[in-house]
Amino acid sequence: MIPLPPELDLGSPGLGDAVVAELPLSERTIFNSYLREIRVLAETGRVAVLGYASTPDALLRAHFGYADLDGNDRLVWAFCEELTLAGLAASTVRSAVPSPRDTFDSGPIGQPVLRPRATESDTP
Amino acid sequence: MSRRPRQPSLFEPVTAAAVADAFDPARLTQARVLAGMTKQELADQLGVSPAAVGQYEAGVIIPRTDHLDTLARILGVPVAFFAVGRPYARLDASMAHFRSLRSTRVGQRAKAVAFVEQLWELTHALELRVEFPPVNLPNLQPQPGSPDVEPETAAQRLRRHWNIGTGPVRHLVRTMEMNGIVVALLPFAATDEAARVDAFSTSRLSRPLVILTPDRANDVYRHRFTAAHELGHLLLHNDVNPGDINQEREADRFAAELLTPAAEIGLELPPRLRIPTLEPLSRRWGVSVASLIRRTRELGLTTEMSTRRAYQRLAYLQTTGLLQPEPITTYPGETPTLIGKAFALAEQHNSLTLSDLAKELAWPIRTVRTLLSNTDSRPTLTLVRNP
Repeated sequence: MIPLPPELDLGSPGLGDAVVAELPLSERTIFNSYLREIRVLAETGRVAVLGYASTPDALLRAHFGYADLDGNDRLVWAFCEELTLAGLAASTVRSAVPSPRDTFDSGPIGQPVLRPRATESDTP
Repeated sequence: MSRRPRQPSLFEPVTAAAVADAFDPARLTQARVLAGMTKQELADQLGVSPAAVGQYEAGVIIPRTDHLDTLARILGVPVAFFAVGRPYARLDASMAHFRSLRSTRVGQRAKAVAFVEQLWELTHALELRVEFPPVNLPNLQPQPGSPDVEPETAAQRLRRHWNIGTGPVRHLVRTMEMNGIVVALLPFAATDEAARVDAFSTSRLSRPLVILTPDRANDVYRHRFTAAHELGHLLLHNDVNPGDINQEREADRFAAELLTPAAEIGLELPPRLRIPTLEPLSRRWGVSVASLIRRTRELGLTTEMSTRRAYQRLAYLQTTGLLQPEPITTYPGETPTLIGKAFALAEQHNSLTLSDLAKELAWPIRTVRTLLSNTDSRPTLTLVRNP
């Protein structure tokens, strides 16, 4: 049984519209193409959503839930909970992504170039 | 002496009688050395005098066919191993560099050399089918009358030659392979005395070969330093002089400058030698904390007393298990793949099988598998008695 829709404070209502209106045309085109995809996805039923706020250096907040899309293209949450990001001591967990600094084991690992010899006359 | 007619074995197409006609004494020595046996031990098991074994190996007399079969069984090789007709890279201990030489005995060194010979034979067999990367090393041999190139200069020139740029040397073993150096990781048994030789290398053959033995310390940082040390020998020491303490020191200086260039690491090393500060540097540069302590001292950034205290603290942390070595196999860029990939390509394009290769080299399949780092995926079967 899915709990009753809780409130998710995402700021003032309509804030998103104002931000979208300020976007240059090229970005608004990209935004609208995403929106079309989301509408198609929402038609299949309730969708699991992982919403997060981040900077290039850190994951700040994250929410997980199930939502529908209403007639105004807004998410209507059927269930939503904030994910706990605290408690992962960085020093005890090896990062899954390469360190921003060069390390001896970072970056792509090259492969020696080998070529099969086609004929016996090709041998050294 | 008449030879008894011998029933050919169903499992071994080459007979001892045929091998007796094409006996290669040097192959007997190689097999004995690889088995880690003295002439006396082999003679005892064969039921002949040590002098007879000496005469077999000197080519004065040829072993009887029944003795050839027994020798093959004792030494763990097919009888065809003793025949001439295969390419053979003959080396002696004066033609290869050995790390930890001072603690190794003559027999251990001979065994290590025999492994280098085997690695060359395998490489040669694969090179007939697959083109390897060309050897790409800078020529650092001084002009006649000029002084030798300093190890630090050699390391800097290699960095430029291989376009390493600034910062750590990434994926060192893979980089060596991409530049045509054959590297093998040879897992000697813990009880094998040859495991006391950390690493060995030679540039006396058509392609430089480096064998690294991880058993003494399965530690990726030590492994990288050892690989860089052998690289130093390949570049600096064409005139091999095993045990020469100066050559060993030069190879160490080369490795230190290659992995941690003074101009860069000097700016990052902390003024106070604290393990928690050195540990992230160790992980970034891919060198051990001990190596960084030594480097700090070499560059005159700390005192002898502070260095000694830092070593003591490090030893304490290692003894208590708080600082654990990082296993080599968790770093794919530090694990050799060249030989294995060459075999896979020959398998794909020339339909070469392990069995074909073993037959061509006259080796047991397990030896081929070991040098190819090819793990045996077959299940282990055990005979079970009915109660």
